[in-house]
Amino acid sequence: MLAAVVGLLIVEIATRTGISMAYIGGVFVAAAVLISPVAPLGGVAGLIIHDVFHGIIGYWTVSTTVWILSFAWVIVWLTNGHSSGQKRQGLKSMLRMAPAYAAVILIGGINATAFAAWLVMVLGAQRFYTAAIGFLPGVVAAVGLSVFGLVAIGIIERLGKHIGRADTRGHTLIESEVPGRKPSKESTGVMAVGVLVIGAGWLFGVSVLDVFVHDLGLYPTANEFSAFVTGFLGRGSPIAPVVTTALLGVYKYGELAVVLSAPVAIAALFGWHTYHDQMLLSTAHGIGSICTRASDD
Amino acid sequence: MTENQPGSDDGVPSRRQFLTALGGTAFAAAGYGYGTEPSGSVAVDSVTGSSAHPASGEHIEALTAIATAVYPSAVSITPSFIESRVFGRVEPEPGHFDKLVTAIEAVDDHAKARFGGRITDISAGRRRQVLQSMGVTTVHPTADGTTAEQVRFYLVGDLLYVLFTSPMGGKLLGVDNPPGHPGGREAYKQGPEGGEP
Repeated sequence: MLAAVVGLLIVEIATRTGISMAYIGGVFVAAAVLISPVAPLGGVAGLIIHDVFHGIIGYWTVSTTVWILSFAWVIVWLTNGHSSGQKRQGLKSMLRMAPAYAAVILIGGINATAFAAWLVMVLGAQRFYTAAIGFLPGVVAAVGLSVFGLVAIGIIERLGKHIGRADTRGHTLIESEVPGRKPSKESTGVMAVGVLVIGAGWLFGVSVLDVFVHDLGLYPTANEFSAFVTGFLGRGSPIAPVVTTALLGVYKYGELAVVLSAPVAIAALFGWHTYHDQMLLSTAHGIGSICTRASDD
Repeated sequence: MTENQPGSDDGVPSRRQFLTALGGTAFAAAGYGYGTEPSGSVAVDSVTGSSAHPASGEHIEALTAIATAVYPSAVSITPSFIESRVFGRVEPEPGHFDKLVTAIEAVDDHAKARFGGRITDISAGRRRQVLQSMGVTTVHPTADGTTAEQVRFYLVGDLLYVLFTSPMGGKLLGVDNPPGHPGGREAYKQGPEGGEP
């Protein structure tokens, strides 16, 4: 309730001062890391109350809400493995943890931005790449605030230890512990790298594709575009027909590929989450058998 | 009835018909302001057009406010200019004005949602921010595209069209006689470099 009120106030101030909602979303996500994993829920509630109160519910409400929640969810998803069983151990451990948390927040931001940009596009408001550009400053804000906050907390706790006071803060992501679930650090790290690769490929790959498809739209028909490509490449080159066919494919099906990017990326994320151990084991087993054969020969 | 009546039957206009047509043309040209020197404000050059358009006074005000963000700062703009030049012209195609009004409402709603007030209530710099945050500044104009592309096509495109087909806008580009504007008698009295022919 208190988080919702604070969220409402922050959103109201942001709209009156013209601060981008991406930055405010970044603040809510940083609150998930520093205060509580449920803090973004209060922020989102404040955002929705603000828009309902002013009668301005629109695609911006839906997309910003989804962006904040998916951003926080990916961080919680990844940090449950990273930090389970870990307790804060003063400035030294905070300084060690800060880069890891920055990486996790970056991964969450990339995936959440791709998903929210896709949603904005599907709702018919903006193109994928313009929506992504709008959200990315919020990712930077979330990373910066979280790292700053982690270091600040570390310094405060160290001072507290010197003074001898007990810690009275709440249960944060940093010290969260999931009973009975302690995946290895290596496995979690590998999974995070996979999520980063999938998310980065989704966000940046689809953004580039969207820009390209958008520019191809300057040619009103496929025939005109084909004539341009043929004229540009010439007919004598052996690769010209292949390149022309590929570019015509992008012209015709590029928009569809951008639309289908989210289902494909989400399936890849869950596939990686579920089967990454088996994939790594089978890869290691394959490499091991190849090495054994080579040594036998 | 008259001495010229037989001539009319041959399809040749009578003297009275000719004089009537000539007088009517002169009257219309005088009323239109044809050949007069445009003043410093584009609003002076506005043409009174049909009021049968779907835009309300609020739409005109909003479009005028957006124009201040789209146009160069050297151009001062008035609602009468916007109403007469944008909505007073012949509709490019059926439904164009309706879609233009929808685009105005989309920008106004976005301003209310994320910038704390109607587009008319915020500063010119903030109005540019509204267009940027909608993605309008980084897309190609597309009539059947996303909201941002439609705003670019209908709203920004129309504003630029009416500016650069007006004498003031033409002067900004160094074109005294822009397409879509008759130019006036003065334009025909000047040589290619602006001097005597």
